[in-house]
Amino acid sequence: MQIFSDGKNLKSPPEPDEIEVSVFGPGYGECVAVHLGRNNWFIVDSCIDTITRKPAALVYFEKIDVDPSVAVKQLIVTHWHDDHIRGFSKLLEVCKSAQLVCSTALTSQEFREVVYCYGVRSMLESSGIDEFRDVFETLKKRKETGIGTYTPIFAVQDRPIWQGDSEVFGSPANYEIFSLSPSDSAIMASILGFADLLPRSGDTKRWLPAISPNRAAIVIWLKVAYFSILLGSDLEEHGEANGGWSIIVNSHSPRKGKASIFKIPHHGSVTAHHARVWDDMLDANPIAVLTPFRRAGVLLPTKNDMQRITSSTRNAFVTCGIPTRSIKRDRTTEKTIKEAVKDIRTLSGPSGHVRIRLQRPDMVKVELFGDAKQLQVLSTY
Amino acid sequence: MVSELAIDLTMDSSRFAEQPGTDQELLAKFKDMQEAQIKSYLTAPDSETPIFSGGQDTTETAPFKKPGTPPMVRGPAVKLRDKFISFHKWEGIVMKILGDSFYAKLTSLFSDDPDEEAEFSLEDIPADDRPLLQVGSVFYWNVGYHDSSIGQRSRSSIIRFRRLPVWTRRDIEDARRRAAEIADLLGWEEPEIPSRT
Amino acid sequence: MPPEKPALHEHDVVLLGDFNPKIFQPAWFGSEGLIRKLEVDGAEIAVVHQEVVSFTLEWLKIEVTRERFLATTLQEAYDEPVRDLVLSTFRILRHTPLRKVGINLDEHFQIESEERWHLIGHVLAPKELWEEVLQNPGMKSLIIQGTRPDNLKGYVQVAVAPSGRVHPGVRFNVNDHFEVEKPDSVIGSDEIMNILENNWVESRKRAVTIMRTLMERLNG
Repeated sequence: MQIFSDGKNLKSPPEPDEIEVSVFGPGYGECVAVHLGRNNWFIVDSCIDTITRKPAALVYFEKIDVDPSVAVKQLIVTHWHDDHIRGFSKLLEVCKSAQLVCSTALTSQEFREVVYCYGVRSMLESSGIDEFRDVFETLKKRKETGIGTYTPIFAVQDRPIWQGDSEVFGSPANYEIFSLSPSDSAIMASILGFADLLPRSGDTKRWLPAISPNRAAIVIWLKVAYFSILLGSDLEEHGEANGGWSIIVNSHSPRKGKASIFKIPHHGSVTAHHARVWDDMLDANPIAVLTPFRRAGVLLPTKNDMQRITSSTRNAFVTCGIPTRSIKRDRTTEKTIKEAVKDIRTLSGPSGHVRIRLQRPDMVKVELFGDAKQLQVLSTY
Repeated sequence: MVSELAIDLTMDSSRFAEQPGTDQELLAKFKDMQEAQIKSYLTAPDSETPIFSGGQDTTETAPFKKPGTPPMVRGPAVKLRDKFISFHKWEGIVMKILGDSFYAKLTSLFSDDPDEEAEFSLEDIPADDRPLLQVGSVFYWNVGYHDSSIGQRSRSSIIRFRRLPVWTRRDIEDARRRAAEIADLLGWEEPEIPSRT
Repeated sequence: MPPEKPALHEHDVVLLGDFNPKIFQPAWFGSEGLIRKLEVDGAEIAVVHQEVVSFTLEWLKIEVTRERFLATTLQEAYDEPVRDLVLSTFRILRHTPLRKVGINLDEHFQIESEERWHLIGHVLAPKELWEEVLQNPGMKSLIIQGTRPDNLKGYVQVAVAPSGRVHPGVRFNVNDHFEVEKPDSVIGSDEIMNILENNWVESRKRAVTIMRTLMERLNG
């Protein structure tokens, strides 16, 4: 495996028979773009590029001269949390050929009511929910114009959500995409959870906080030829047989083989760790990528998380450093801020991008752009 | 340019100008008002030329005085008040509440700076706003100079929680209706648990 | 050159419609949780009458007549709370017929010298024409109106005048004026409140850009 961090060649698109997995992370949010050959692209979640303020995937496609309106076949939204969905409605608008994939829970009456309670005439910007309101409007436009599909594919445990023909490693190949979650019980729990979020008459309006822990995010398994990729989203594990990662590792799934590339779930936190994922679902020393997270005093990955991950694979990467900077302002303002609060930091840092390309199974190239780095380097923070 | 005297921003009070009756009757009628104020409605139109005027009223929703219009309410002499001059302001969302502090996500209202996060002391919340504190509550945070009514200047910050109206039954019914409408429009049925294939 | 900070600031929201002024007393706002209890207790009431109500808090002035509702602040820190107060008030009183709304920003800027101050007046209103008909003409005020940049009914109006409070100084006022589509058939406050909620941020950006641009052009 070769690792490049000189930032060159960003603008070169993948070869038609080359697999690519690109993980974008500005320190708050993440997005994954996958190329499975012959200009077939799949995007999982969305985040905003800190410099251009546009969806990171679209910024990238512009750089590599890929037309997202024809190249992107599916847009997968793994769950509705703020940090995974910013800019998603814009992606849906631009990627006209893409089919939406989401949990069936996100099309329930309960979730729709939450969207319209919190997202309309609430006098609040609740970005995750507002984004979904815009997703519904974009689907409506698709129906009205007849351009693009407006019925989602519903991701549920062990369901194939896409199949196609491609060419990788110089040969024709078939590819399949599976959703490994959520389980039936997780879907039901989500829908009930949405009902709990619905405000009652007389409740004061407020911003909608994310539900934690995340038991119902969509985990994606991509397989092309004999090569597999596992995208872990934000799925957490809390020892419940019917949920989290336990139900995935115990499932009699039609997927076969082990993944060589792993998008580590939930920013590397121990709450998303399951030993059998590493033992049963991943090759030895997989290429593992995670995005950091900073919110409400929580910094992920922790030092223990990094030690655990780097002991499981030599090839661990992070899209950027954990945001620690503060914005520089004039002296009087800074002095007043310091007197007023205990600590103030930016939520997102410089954007980073980890790009993994395979032209042959023995020719893996990892390129680090922006603030992306090896996880071992982050260990010293 | 020609130097101008300060002119208070006022509003149209044509309704008062239409009131019939003698001065004494009107004084008795508006007994809640100070005599000086009422007299201001009864006297001849203010001879002070307003700054902003025009033949056609194009300033309906700009609170300027129209020519010949008495001032709406001329209260007592201007009282010196405390004043706050912002250097910077943010909208904050409460993300987590701890024992004596809370974390908030901050969006700058002055610039396009990226979002920030800060830890605030609970003691900094004004007592009247404490009941509004919960995860998801929104507030404004300003840092700047506080100028007291006696001219003392100090650096300061103020937190003010947004006082938003409550969700009404109508809001919730509206949301329910829109939720059903979008599903109808898109031809979605209520989800069953789909079978694995 | 960095943008000038204004010496004085005022923000108003003006509504035209049909009001019952006596509702709008500090106690009502307090009972609806729209202002703090201490603010209710400390309110300075100028007048409470069926035709007019006027009161002042530390950061807010409210004046209401049968046809007009005005909420004003002189402190930039409270611009958003003024907007929130108006929105909340008329979401509660949603049956109040509202036909027009003005989102106004009024700022006074200090000018470095009298010479520059006079030059500004001359740029805005060149004197050659006026010197033919008047002795020592000087600009007292200038109002320019433009069409709205969005699909809404109304206009954007900018007024410039010498400041009466800061000398030498210039006063700008931006009146961002919106109207309902069909004023004769308006029955409540929703249309105007939706306009206010959806346009306040953009209106503020527009007003600041207008003032900044004019100051840069006029003041160098």
